[in-house]
Amino acid sequence: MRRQLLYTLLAIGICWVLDALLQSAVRGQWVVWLNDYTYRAFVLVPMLFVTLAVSLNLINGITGQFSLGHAGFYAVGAYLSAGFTVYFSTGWLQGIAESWQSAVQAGLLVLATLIGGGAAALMGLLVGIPTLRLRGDYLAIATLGFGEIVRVLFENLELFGAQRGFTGIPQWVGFGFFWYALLMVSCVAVCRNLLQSTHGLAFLAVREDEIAAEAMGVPTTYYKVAAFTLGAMFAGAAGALLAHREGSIYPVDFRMDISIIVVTMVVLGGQGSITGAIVAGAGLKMLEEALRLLPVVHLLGRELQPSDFRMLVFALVLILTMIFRPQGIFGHRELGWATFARLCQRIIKSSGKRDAPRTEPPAG
Amino acid sequence: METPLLDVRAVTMRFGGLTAVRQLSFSLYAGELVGLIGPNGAGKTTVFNMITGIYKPTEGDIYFMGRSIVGLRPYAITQLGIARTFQNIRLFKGLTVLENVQIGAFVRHRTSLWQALLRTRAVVLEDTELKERAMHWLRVLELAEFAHARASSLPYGLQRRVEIARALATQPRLLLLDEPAAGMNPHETEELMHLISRLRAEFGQTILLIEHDMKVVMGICERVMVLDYGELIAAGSPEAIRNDPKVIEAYLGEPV
Repeated sequence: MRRQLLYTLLAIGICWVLDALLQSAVRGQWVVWLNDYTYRAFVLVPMLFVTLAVSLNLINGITGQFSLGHAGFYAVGAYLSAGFTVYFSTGWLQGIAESWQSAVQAGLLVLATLIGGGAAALMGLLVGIPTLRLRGDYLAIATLGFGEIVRVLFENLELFGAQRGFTGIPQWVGFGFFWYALLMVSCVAVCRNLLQSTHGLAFLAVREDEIAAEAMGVPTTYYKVAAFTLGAMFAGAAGALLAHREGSIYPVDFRMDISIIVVTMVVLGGQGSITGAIVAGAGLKMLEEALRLLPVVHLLGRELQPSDFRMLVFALVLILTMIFRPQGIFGHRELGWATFARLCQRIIKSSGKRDAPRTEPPAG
Repeated sequence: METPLLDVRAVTMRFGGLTAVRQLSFSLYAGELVGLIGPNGAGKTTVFNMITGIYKPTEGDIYFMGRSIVGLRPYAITQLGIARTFQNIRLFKGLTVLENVQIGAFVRHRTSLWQALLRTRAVVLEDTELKERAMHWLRVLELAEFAHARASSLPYGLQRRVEIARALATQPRLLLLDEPAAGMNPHETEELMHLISRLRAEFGQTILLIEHDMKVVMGICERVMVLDYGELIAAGSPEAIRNDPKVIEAYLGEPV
């Protein structure tokens, strides 16, 4: 356990230092192009989507259960954690000394994030048990329906501001890098831990062949529900951070588009590859934000905003991936030191071969 | 008299109007190597699917080590100690040979999923142990050199061996082999026969074998059961089966 504690403290420390550095860079305008807007668009939002993509990868990629309802879990986490903060926790802050305020806020934020994640996990469990009897397309349709139901529900609940959006959420996340990075790192660490252990192989076995997995003693239903619960939990926690960073959330933030974008990230990265999900998650989100920076185009007498075509771009990316690289950028592989070392070895070997005199006679 | 390891009692399996297996009864004792033969569609694989819990018999009961296993989920039956291979190979194609066998060994795991998510010391130790156990079976089946190859990249005969290794890694008391020699060339079949008798001799493995290749069955099994249209028409030593008129009529054909 000592090792885990060390890593956790190290991660917290690094996130803290980077947070402070970035904050002074943005506030102090160290570089021209790094301002509040670009920081949010190219650092914060991509980190949130990496979390979403890596957590969906656990369900879609590693366990092979095609889910289109990730935005639903994201929404549940955002709304319920915000509900907790707005309706239950503000009272606790009164009467607390000024110097303790920020510490209590941080504690409450962690609690709210846990509540958001926990509520989403519970939802994952509730959705998972009945729907995981479905396979392939049917599961995709059922989870899509779930995501929409959640959104419509929040659109109609006065308690959560209905269509006007849920506003007035305390912005305890503040600058944001620290919390966003911490969630992202813990999501990646948990998935990586899982894949390194034989337990992870059980998840992969479910994806590869359910009947064979069952015949090898793997309780497939248990692992499917576990994947759904875990993936949903991280999506919910991501939603909680979003709510407490933006201060207001709207039902449109959790449209079906979000689910589809996250699925695109998983497919593009390579189903089952964590590094793939990270690279594709960050890359696609940055691409989307970059489209917003493009100037308005005048075509056939109309003003066209390039970012209005983002769904078109995503669809195109998805189709091109399917045609040219159906296994995704990384396939099932992970990018890490091992891959890097192998690559170096191959380069050395191939250059060695070229230099070595040919000893064997040519074939044929 | 000792209790049988597997006791199939008057089992019937109907699919709609079709009766695949009718009133089948037989017993297997620990350490036996028994062959199950019969023409195509006789219900041999159905018998396997009932024993391993993929099908629930319409009637009758199946006892394993003295307890009824009818109605248990397939994974629970594997945990109790029955492992199988499939007629049409069902390896985890995208994973390596070692990972395939490691999943077999995983059935005897002790750590929880939560420990795995935090990667505690117990998980790290167990991973090494499971990997070592998987490597052990790969060495026994002479597959060690392919440990890190993708399962689907192996030739057919080797894939069958990986399936056997994966089943053995679950440490079964009873191993069910569904046509292990199907699609193998004579040389590979020879090796397989050698392997199966070795599993019996070295590890005392109880094996129930479905096979079409008569040479395999007659060569290594001490007891053979013949299924025809879902009914047991004969059982006994290979010699007795070879000369049984009912078997000759149904399956073997007239001696030339």
